[in-house]
Amino acid sequence: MEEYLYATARVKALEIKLISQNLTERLLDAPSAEETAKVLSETEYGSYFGEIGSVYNFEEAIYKHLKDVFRIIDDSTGNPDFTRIFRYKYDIHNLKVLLKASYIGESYEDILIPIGTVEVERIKKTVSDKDFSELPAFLKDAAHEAVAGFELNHDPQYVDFILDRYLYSKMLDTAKRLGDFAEEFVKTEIDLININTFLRFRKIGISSSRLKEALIDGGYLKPSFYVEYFAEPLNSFAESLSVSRYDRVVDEGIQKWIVDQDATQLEKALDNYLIDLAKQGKYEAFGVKPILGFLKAKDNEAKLLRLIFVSKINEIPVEKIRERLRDTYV
Amino acid sequence: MEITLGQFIALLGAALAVLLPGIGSAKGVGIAGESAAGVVTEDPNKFGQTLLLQAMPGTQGIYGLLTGFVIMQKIGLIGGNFLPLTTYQGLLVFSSALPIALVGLYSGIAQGKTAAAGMGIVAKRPEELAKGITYAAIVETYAVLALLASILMLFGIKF
Repeated sequence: MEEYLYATARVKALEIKLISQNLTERLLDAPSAEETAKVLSETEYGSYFGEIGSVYNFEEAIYKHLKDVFRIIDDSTGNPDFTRIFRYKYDIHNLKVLLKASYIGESYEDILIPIGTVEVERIKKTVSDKDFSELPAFLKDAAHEAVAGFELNHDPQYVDFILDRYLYSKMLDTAKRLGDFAEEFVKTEIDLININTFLRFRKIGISSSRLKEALIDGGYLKPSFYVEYFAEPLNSFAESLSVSRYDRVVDEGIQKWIVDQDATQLEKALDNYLIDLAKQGKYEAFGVKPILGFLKAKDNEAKLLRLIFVSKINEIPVEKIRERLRDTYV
Repeated sequence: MEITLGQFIALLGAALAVLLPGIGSAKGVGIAGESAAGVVTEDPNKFGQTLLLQAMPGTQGIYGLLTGFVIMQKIGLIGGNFLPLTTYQGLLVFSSALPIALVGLYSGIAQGKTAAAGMGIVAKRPEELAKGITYAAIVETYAVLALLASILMLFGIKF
C-alpha cells in the first residue's frame, strides 16, 4: 500500500492551521461579519479575505482557499483521486444548477461553485449548446440521462435524483481505487444521505416509489432496507438502525427527530458521524487516512465558515448558530 | 598467492556486513527524508529538528561498515597479508557477519518509518521532539545488539 510519506507529513503540518474550537468561538463572538473576517485574518484565510472587496463575497475567498488546498494535495500525493472524491460534488452541483436554470429560463450564475474537476465555463457551454460530448464520461452520461428524465416527466427533482446517483457511484469507484478506508468513507456518506432522505420523505409524506428514485445505491444499507421500513412506525426503523454501525446517529439525531422532527439536530448528527469517521486520520502516521481526513476537515471548515458568515450577515443570534455547528476535526 | 574458498567466503561476509545495513540505512533515511520534506515545505524553520530525526536510521550503515572493517582486519586484508583461510574458517567469519547484516537491513527500514512518524510530532508539537527521537531510538537498540553480537563473534574467532 502506498504510504504518501511526503503528503502525510505536509498534511500533519497543515492540520495545526485548521480552525480550532477556540477560534470558532471567537468567530462567533465577533459582532459583525466584517469583524468575523478580521478574526480570520490571522489564519490561513487571511490573504484570501484580503483579496475580496466586500465581506459579502466571503464564498469567493473560501472557495479560492479550498481550491489551493486541493492543489496542494494533488501535487503532494501525485494522485488526483483524493480530491476528486470531494470535487465531483461541485461538478454535479453546477450541472444541476445550469440544467434547471435552462429549463426555467433564468440565470443562477451566482450559485455556481468554481472548484469542481471541470471548469464552470465548460459545463455552461455544453448546457447551452445541448451537446455534452465534451464533458468527462461520467458527467456526459449523467447529463444525458438527466435531460432524458426531465423530458419524460418534467420534474426538476428527477434531475437531482439522477445526477446524485451518478455522483455517488463515481465517488465510490474513485474511492475504491484508494483502498478500504476511502471506500468505507464514501459508503458511509451514501448511507447518511439515504437516512436523511428517508426521514425527510416520510415527514412530508411522499410515496415509496418516489423514495426508491431518490435513494442512492452503494452504501452498507441497501435501498430495499429503507423501502421496507417506509410504511412502518419510525421507532422500528430507529431500532433496526441502532443495531447497525449507525447507533450513534440514532442516539444523537433520530431519537430527537422522532419527538420534534427538527432537521437541525438530525443533520448535525449525520454530519458529525462522518467527521468522526474521518478523525481516524489524525491517529495514523501515513497512508490514505490522514489525507482523506484532512480533506474532510477542510470541507467541513468551509461549511462552518459559510454558516457563520451567512448567519452574521443575516444577524442571527449566536445561540442559534451554535446549535447548528458541527464538530471540528481538530 | 593462491586464493582459497575460505578467503572468498570470509570476504563475502565482509561485503554483506557493509551492503545490507547500508541498504537498510539508505531506505530508512530516504523514508524519513521524504516525510521531513513534507514538514519543511509548510514550516522551513523545522529543518534542524527534522534533520535530527532523519539522520537516526543512518547508524546501521555505520555499524555495517565497522563490522566490515573488523573482518577485513581479521583476515589480514587491510594489513596486506591476506590469511590463507580454510573453508570452515571462512564460514566462521561469514556467520559472524550475519547478525549486523540482517538486523541492520530491517532495523534501518523500521527506524526510518518510526522517524517519519515522528515527523508528525515535529509538525504538530515541535516541543515534543524528544519523544519522537526516543521512539526511533528504541529501534536502534536492536541494531546495537546485533553489532555487539557480530563483533563478539569476530573477536572470539582465533585463527
